[in-house]
Amino acid sequence: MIEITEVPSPFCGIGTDDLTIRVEGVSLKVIDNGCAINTPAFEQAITDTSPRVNGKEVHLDIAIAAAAALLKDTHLPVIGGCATDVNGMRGLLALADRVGAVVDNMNFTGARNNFLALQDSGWMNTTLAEVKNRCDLLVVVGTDLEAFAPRFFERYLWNEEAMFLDDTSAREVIYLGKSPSGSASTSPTGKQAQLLPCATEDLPDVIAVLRALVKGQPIIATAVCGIAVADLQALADKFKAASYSVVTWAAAALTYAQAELTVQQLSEMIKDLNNQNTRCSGLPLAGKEGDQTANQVCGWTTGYPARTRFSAGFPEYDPFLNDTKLLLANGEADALVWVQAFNSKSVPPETTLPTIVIARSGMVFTKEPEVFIPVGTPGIDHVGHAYRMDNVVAIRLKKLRESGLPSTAEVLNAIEQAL
Amino acid sequence: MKALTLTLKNSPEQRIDMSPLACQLLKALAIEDIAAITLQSGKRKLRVYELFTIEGSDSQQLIIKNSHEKLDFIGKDLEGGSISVVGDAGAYLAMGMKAGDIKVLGNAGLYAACEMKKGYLEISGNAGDFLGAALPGNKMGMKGGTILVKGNVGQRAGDHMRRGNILIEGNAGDYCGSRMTAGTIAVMGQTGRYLGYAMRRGTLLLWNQPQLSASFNDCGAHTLAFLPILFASFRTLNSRFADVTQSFNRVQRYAGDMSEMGRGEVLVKI
Amino acid sequence: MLIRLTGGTVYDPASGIDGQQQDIYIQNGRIIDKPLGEFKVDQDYDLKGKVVMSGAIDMHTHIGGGKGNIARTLLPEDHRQDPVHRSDITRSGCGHAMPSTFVTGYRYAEMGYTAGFEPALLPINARQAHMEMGDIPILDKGGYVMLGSDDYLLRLLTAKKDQKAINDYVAWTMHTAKAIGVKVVNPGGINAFKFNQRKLDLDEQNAHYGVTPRDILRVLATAVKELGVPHPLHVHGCNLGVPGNVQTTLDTIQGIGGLPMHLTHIQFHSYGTEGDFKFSSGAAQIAEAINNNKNITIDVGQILFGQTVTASGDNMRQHANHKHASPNKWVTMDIECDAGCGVVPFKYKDQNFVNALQWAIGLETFLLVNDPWRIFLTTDHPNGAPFTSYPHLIRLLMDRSFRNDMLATIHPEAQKMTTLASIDREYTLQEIAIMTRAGAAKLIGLKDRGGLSAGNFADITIYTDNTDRQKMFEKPDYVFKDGQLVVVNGKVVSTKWGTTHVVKPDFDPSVEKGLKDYFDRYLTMKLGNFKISDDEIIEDGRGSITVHPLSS
Repeated sequence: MIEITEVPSPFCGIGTDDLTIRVEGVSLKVIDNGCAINTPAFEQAITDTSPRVNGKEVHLDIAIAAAAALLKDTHLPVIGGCATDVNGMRGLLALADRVGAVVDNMNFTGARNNFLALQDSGWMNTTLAEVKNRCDLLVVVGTDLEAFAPRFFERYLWNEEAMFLDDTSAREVIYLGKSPSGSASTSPTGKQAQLLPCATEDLPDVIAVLRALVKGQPIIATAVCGIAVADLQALADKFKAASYSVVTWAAAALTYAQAELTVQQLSEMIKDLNNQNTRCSGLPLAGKEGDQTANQVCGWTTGYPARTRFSAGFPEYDPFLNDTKLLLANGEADALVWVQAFNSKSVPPETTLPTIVIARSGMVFTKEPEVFIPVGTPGIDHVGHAYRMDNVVAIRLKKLRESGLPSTAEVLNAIEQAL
Repeated sequence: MKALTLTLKNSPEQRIDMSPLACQLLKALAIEDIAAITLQSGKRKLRVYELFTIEGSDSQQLIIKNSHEKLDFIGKDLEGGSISVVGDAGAYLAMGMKAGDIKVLGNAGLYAACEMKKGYLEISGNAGDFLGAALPGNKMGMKGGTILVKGNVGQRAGDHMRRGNILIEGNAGDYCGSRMTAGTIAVMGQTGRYLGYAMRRGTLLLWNQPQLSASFNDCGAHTLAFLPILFASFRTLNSRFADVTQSFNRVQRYAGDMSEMGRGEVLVKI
Repeated sequence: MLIRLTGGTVYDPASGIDGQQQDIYIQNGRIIDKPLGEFKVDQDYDLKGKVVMSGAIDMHTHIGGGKGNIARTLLPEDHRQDPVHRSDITRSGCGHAMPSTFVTGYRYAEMGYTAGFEPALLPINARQAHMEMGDIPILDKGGYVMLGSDDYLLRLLTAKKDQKAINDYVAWTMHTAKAIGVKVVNPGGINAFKFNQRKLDLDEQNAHYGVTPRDILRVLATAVKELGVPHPLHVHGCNLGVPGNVQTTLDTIQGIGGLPMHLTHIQFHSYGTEGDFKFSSGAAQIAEAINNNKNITIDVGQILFGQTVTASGDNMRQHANHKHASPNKWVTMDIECDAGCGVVPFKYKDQNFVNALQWAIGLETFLLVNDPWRIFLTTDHPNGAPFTSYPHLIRLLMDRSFRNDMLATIHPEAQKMTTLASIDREYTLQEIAIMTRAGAAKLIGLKDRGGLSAGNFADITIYTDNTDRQKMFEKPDYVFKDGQLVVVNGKVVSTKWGTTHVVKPDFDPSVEKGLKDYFDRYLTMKLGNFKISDDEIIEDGRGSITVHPLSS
């Protein structure tokens, strides 16, 4: 039995790296600094180690050959999921390039809200350490932050010391839209967050009015979607009075159509504030199950984020038509590769197509895929790299145990070799 | 010469990139050459004759029969001539069109007439999201020409529109006229939520009262002299927009989006 | 296998060879002396009439790291204009302003380059930079780690820690980030922007720390020298792009007190305030200062007309420049109490007075600095122009009549404000070879690179001599990387993986005590998880690390 300290997590998105994990054989126990997301993700037991072809346990080589055979004469294979580490994505993109596949990250429909806004007008963002040391006003938009990242407040807002704040508990937290599910946002001295609640799908209106007020444009209405315009004016004034305000949102929590325009309004509002002699920054929340990793690696390999097809021999980005769900539903795809090294509950979408699943051990299927290859989890079974929500920081994942499971990269590279 | 008629043999599984069949690209080609053109479909490059039966020879009058919602990029960058689509068109219909006219009897998919520069597009059925919009990353949507849709349109019609007219006989989905910079979108039917979201300038002309965001301010009732001139310009269209009884000059005017520069206008018939 | 390159005209400034016909022998990836006695040549290339140089080295090019990937993500419309198909030996990707990693490697190699150095390796983002560079084929690479706006250094300065403490921190950071040099960007300015300061002159204090850019430059330049890092402190100065910044740059040169210093993309720091537009060329003054101060080296950061994207650590200046964004979209970031970045697309126009004069200022600088060993050919890719424009730039430098023809087409007021037409100088092939090969290798401290004498790695580029220097340099006949033929007639014919060049200066291990406490209290990562191990670069089986010696 050994205890490993300072274990970084690829699961929570906020780069928690202070976990202590006890390793006994292949079983893991989070001893210190676990949370509702990280603890079960680390502790999940290995249940299967053997690849299967058509439900029958086979040697890895056989499964790889079977996968290669399924991909060989396809007209439009889709590689979905894309939940793995940097090397896994490298292997995935090399395979996609070779077989002319569509690459689609499973969280892209949410992430699209950020990408389309970024690609249209850009943004001014910050990262977690700046929040920890500078942020004096945090505005949370449409997101239950503590459900998203249970230790966010503990680690980055209610930290004992900050370099540029005398008293971190004096920070102000305001929720716009969705209200928090717990009390993590209440400061250590008991100061509660201010709530300006509205329905999530009303946020476009509310944010548009807030931005108009930040710019000093006239608004005739006195209320918008249940929020008094005077309250939004007060928020606009707080932004201007703050030294380093931060606006955070999870793109995936904005669960309504065209939410990119809300992200764009927010990001443009932040720019407006920075033109009014104060500092304000955005902090988009993400980093779950390798989504930032997938988009980063796809970004440097192709120029585009991870909803890109290689079918014509070069990368083509289409944030709508390259959607796995659409491609399966309209009969375009003729094979599915599902890559999910982090979460065995994240099963492939239902399909009658030939399916190759390269996933974390323990995945349970309603329909057995043609090929299933259990792989190790980055940060548990092998070393690797994963991106944190703030994108700048890649964390170095540790190997905690000797499970014998291959890495995603090893499997995908082998399939490419076998073609 | 008879119009070049391509009749789709079978419903395709993978989408087909039809951009090599824009009229100007066919001008100098013999029928055998056109038949041998390859079209990307999924990973495959299929020849025109494998996908279509071919009749007629006038490539400047192209008819696509038995058309399908997976035929993308029909009339891409069209520089002249006419394309008639019997059936549905896929995504990116008439993208970047510079001249000529395209008529679709059925429905059109995403991004129809995106970044259209000039010419005429008529869709008898419905159009999908992003009609007359800009491709992701591009800042300029439709820059000129006229789009007529007899049915309904999806969300974000006229996103980033710069100039030209979008005429919609039916209903428009949410975010009609989002991020418009200039141009006119006229909607005879109902409009969805978030009309003119983040629009800077431009005109949304409506027959029915919309649900407007709080970032649009009511500027009162007005009689506008330019409206009869605008309606007169529609007279030649095969459309209810040409119907004199549909025209008006008295409107309620709303200005927005105040989150942007607030110089856009929503004009509602009264 | 023994390869012989027979009869080429060799330009090898590192050995003082200037256009002599010479055979070159390659074995096991290195250049060797002609074997003694009888020997069998496995491959013989007849290079009579061809020009032979070592592989070119780009000593300042943004090819790895977060800001470049932001630039990529920001510009799908640029990629759509330049799709790159896969082949049996090459990967697909995209090109133009900020190419994908694989295409970066191919296109550099196809111009005869065999190494590129990322000048802005943020310590916290160094992993990403190395991972991106790890996906750049063929080229050798390396990076200069960015310091100067990091709160740890500023705290050391405020606490009046001695130079040894600074040196230990700098050396430790070079180790953890796997760097071969140290860069400072808008010294302290990126930090000041976080305190809402919008400009920071050389002697202006950071509002929180009271430290000035001059202080930062001095301690870092001293650290680099005392640690024996061959590459002098790599400086992106204060006031980038601000009219009148020529004075800042001259003051920076004086203020460094004779310490070795490299001033990068100096074109952007050579502006006066004369004339109707209050914007003028300071190139003559800058060149004079460079000529007179042997401790100073520069690269130019030439702009060339067309669409590109600017990606910089200098978020203070990038934010100020955002109103020039074209298309109008841009990103800035504050990063981890470490640094920042700003990405602003630009379209340099020959009919825009400022852009036209920027173009002329860069060329004036090239032509007025006498010593080719102290000036380097860069566009600050992609900031002044994409690296793929280098052959065009070489022609501008080597062909006076071509240069003057171009000059005659730019904004007429800019023509009046430049002395370019009166400068006769044309660069020679040897001078080009110095700027892009021998000089660059010497500046960075690369052992066994940038020369063609025995013992060097066989990074060799062969061109067909052509009076149209653009044509000549954009399509080499052959490129060898570590002795492997990778390019024929300007096209990649095989690929391989280059190495990552680093230096490892010594430090007192006790430096980690203060750092660990700082990380635990203020940062978001444990110190142990912050440090990049050699494994991270080499574990995928294709990367390697080459450690270069320190100066004595």
